[in-house]
Amino acid sequence: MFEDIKLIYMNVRILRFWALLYDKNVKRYICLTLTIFHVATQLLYMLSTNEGITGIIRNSYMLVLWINTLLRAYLLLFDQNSYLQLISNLQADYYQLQRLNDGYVTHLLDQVNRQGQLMARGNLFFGLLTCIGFGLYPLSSSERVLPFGSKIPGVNEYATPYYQIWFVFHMLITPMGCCMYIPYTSLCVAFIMFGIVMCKALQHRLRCLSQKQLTREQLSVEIVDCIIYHQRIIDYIQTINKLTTYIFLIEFLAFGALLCALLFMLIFVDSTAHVAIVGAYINMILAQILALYWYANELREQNLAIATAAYETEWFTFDLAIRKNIQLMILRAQRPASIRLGNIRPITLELFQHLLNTTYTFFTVLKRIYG
Amino acid sequence: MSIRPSENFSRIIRVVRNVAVCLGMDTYDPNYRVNKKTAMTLSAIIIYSGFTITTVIRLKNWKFALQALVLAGFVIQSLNKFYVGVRHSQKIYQIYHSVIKIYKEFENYPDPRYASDLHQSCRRLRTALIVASIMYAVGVVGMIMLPIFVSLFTDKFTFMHFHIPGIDVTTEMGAWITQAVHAVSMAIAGLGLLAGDSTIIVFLMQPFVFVDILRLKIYVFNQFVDIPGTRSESEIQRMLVDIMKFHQEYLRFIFRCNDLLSSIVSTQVSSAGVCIIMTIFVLMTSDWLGGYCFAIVLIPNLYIYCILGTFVENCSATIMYEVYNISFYNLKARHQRQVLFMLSKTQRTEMMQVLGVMPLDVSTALQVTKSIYSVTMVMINFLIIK
Amino acid sequence: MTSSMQPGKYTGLVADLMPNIRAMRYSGLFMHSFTGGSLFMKRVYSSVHMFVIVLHISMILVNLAMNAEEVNELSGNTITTLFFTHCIVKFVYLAINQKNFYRTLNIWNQANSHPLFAESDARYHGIALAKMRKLFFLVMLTTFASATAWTTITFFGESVKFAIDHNTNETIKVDIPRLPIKMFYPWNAGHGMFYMISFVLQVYYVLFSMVHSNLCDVMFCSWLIFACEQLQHLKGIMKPLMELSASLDTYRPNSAALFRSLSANSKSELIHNEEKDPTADMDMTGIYSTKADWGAQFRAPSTLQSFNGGTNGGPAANPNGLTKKQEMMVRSAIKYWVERHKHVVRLVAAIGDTYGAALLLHMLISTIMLTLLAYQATKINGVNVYAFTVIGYLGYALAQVFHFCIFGNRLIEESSSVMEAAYSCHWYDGSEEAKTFVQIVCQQCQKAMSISGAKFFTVSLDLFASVLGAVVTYFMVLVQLK
Repeated sequence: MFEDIKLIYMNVRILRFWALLYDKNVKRYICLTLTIFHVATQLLYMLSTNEGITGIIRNSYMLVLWINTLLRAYLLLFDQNSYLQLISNLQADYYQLQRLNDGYVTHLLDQVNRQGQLMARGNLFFGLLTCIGFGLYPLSSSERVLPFGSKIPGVNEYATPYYQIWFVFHMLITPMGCCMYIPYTSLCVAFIMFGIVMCKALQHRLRCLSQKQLTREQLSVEIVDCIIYHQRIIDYIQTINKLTTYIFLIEFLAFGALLCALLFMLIFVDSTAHVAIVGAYINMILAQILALYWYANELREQNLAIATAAYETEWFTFDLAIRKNIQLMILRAQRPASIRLGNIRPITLELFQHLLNTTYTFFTVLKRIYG
Repeated sequence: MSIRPSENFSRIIRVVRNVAVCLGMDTYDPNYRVNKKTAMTLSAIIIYSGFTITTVIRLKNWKFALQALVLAGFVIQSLNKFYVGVRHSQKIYQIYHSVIKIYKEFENYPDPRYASDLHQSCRRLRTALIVASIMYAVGVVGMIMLPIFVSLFTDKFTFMHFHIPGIDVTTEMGAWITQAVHAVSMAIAGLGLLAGDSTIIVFLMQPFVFVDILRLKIYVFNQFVDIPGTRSESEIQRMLVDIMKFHQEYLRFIFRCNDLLSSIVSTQVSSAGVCIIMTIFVLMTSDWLGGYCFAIVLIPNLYIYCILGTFVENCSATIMYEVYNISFYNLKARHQRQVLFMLSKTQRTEMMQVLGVMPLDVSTALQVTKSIYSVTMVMINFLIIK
Repeated sequence: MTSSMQPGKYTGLVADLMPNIRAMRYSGLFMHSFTGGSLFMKRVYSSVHMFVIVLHISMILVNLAMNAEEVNELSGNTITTLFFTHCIVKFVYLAINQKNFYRTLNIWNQANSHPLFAESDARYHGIALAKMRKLFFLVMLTTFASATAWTTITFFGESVKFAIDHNTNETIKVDIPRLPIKMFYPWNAGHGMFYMISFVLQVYYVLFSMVHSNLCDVMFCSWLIFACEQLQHLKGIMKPLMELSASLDTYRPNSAALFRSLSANSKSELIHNEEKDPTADMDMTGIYSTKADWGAQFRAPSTLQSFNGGTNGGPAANPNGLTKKQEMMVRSAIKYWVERHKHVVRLVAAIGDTYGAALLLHMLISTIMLTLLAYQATKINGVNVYAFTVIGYLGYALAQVFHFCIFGNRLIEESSSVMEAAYSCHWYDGSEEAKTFVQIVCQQCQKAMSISGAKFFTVSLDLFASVLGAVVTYFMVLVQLK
């Protein structure tokens, strides 16, 4: 399904394969159980290890990623119906836009499909690179280390049979974890991208009003249709918001702390390989956050632009009732619907900048104490 | 009350004018001209500055110079007030006249609530002026008495920062004469600053009058439109226009006050902030007893206008809520749109501004305090390292 | 006030906050209205508490003055003093400002009601009540847990204080009695009977001080929860209100269903106002009168202006065939909405007036305390009793600030989002009056309602973020100085 909506096709397909969406079979229980088991072993390792601070930070980075994976899978299963409803809404809106047969709108849809595909593939590619990186990491060190620090009580992970089994296990669950983690982000970004397309379509519709020759009644009906579409966009964004706001908040806090810790680790590492690895980890976090924040910011901007587009109509030639409608539409658009962080603050690039600022501040504090 | 509100108000103004007349600054008079007393006040300020500069040059002590610089803050404030008073005396008279007109107009209404509100505003004004006068009196007396007490008990003569050329301060006689001259000049300075501040207090306490009267008008209007069907549209329109005109009157008043007082307010707030920082620095590097007194006097100096500005802001916010109180759901769409227009204006009322960018209220004062705190921390850091 | 209060049947906000009010009274705060018992006895009870608290804090101050030479002792004692200053400031603030508290509580004694929206009103009222109770229990639990933790941690670590030996000018440790707070005692509190008495008194002091300060904050936050849920109620009924208003002028199918919540032979007054119940606030006449506070907007049952052609003789035909009564119902619904919104605005203004100064004092004391705590935090050298106490103080102070910042922020968000609810319904089908009504509401909601600390600052999460940022900055500066 959704082969023609390239925007979400790949993500939905992967999630469907692992039975997190649409299908209900044993695969979802497999991936959930394996992930929970893995996270438990990691936690045990963290609590009982006596590795240095670099090891702790590296392992906590992976622990946070795995917990995040688990949270996302859980959310998908818990809110399954809402997600399915959202996807079907997206499908309906998509087909409605296609049916307009307007050149600009079709161009927008093609563009968003391309971008969505690129984003999904790019994310998966990065995920793959990370998996390879995790896999190669033990090879780069002289002694026996596992990709993720894990501990099973009663078993010595570094003894010969167990080490290989464990290594293979880690190598197998890494792609599985990738499949649970990355499509979710890509799917959320895809939802937001489609929201942007809807806003742009509305703006286009408002701008084209002057080119059509419409009677008074037709104009009135058209404006009311625009308002109803605006309400649809707002509802769509609020649905996305309801589903994702808290996971975004948790990610914001977790990634902020991780960024700080990783920067701090840069003080301690010595070899170039390690610097490269830490640099890659930081890059991954930044890329994850930036992709989402960029599009969320864009969505907010496009919502504000609806007000500008409404103002650009020839409202001064319309009569009073229609003007009143346009005025209220502008009033509402000036308080743009946006994706929020924990329902408190809209996600914008300014927030991203604050995050970087705060991270750097904490980093300097820590450096001053321990440097 | 047997006297009329406008009489009450005029009595208060007369007291303020008496103080101002002593300094030749009775700008409430429509025919005010610069006279001998004005010239005397100005020359007193100039002489003070001249003496200070000569003393500083003669002593060549940088710490002494810094202390003198702190006092220069007050000089700048008084010069500014003096200049504004003389140059814009017509504006002051206009604002005063518009206020008296409002009192005279509304005390004649048959509804007794108008008169009682006006009386209450007079009471409020009287309280504010008394509080300000007490503050200044305590400050001035403290600054005069402190050096006298200290020189009586510890044999250490502390002075203000000028010596009169020709009188040798090292002799006992000379020292006492200088102290006497300092005391007199401080008293005159206090009186002058009080006169300036009284005018500003009088003007910035008037928004309360506007608020009370607007509230009464809206209440009467609500009762008017509450009874159905018997009111003609033209009557409703007339009353609504009356309310809107009064709101415009309020906006004009604020604008005129802002126009007149912006430079005074900006100078006072910024000079108070800078002087506090300098005082703290001087107190940390040298031993100046008067410095503590000055720091204590500078804090109300900084806050008094900010508090008055907050009152104005509160009045604007109250007006916004009062306009929303109009029973617009009882009106037709045509009238509702007028209420809407007034409502959107009330949400963007201009307030008094500092330096044209920051609103004059206590949150600005808080920002200034925070900056002073940070600069102090940096200074402590710097001095400890030194 | 009469000398003997009958516990009458309280409604509205007072009834919802009764557990809180009772807890305040039993813990000794000066909140004497609304509960039964002789006023004189209640005053005596509160005065005894006040005496004990003042005694303890003066002993803490004396201890501070006596040990001011050694820097570590000085900063530690100052933090303790500031911590308990919070509590006594709130105690005295409530005692002085009782009338304002009663006034705020009485503002919602009798709210207007409308038969069409009674169900939504009751639902959101229930939600508000549940949240207030949950908050109350949570905060009380935390308070008791903190007091227990404080008492427990007394028994760990060494019970010493630092002093400067005047002969060698070095810092030495001097033994002091093992008590929760370092205080000056005129008697020897080392052992025996006096030790037990001092210990018990200190435990009482710690527990009751925290309870006092937190109960006041909980009352403030409960008010904010109530105001937010009222705004949610208004947002919830905006849609049916717009539908109703549209039915007056435009043909809408199924408009009869809009009135289904009204029974056919209901004789209920269109808007129930407190003119009918003058006895509701009889015992409060000295302090507060609902009528005066409402600006006497509510007169005798007001029949609303009917716009449909009064001058043409006979009402114009309604496109949906509504009866006269149903038309009146619609017009009164709009009036209900606007009056309820104004009521909420009045409540929020009263909350700000009542508690704003207390918040200002709280933030002032907290700022100084957090600065000193940042300094103490630079001296943490391991996981020991000292680290736990510093982190405990820090967490408690930040949690208190976060507590009222988050509710203040929610109020700001809710009040400015009323406009979103207004927009999300079929207002474009409505009449000119309906649209202008929506416009005026949207315009009014652009200026969000917020609580300010006596106009110095606005209570929102930005305040919390700036406090947190300031603590980190001070910490960095002080670490550098080390």
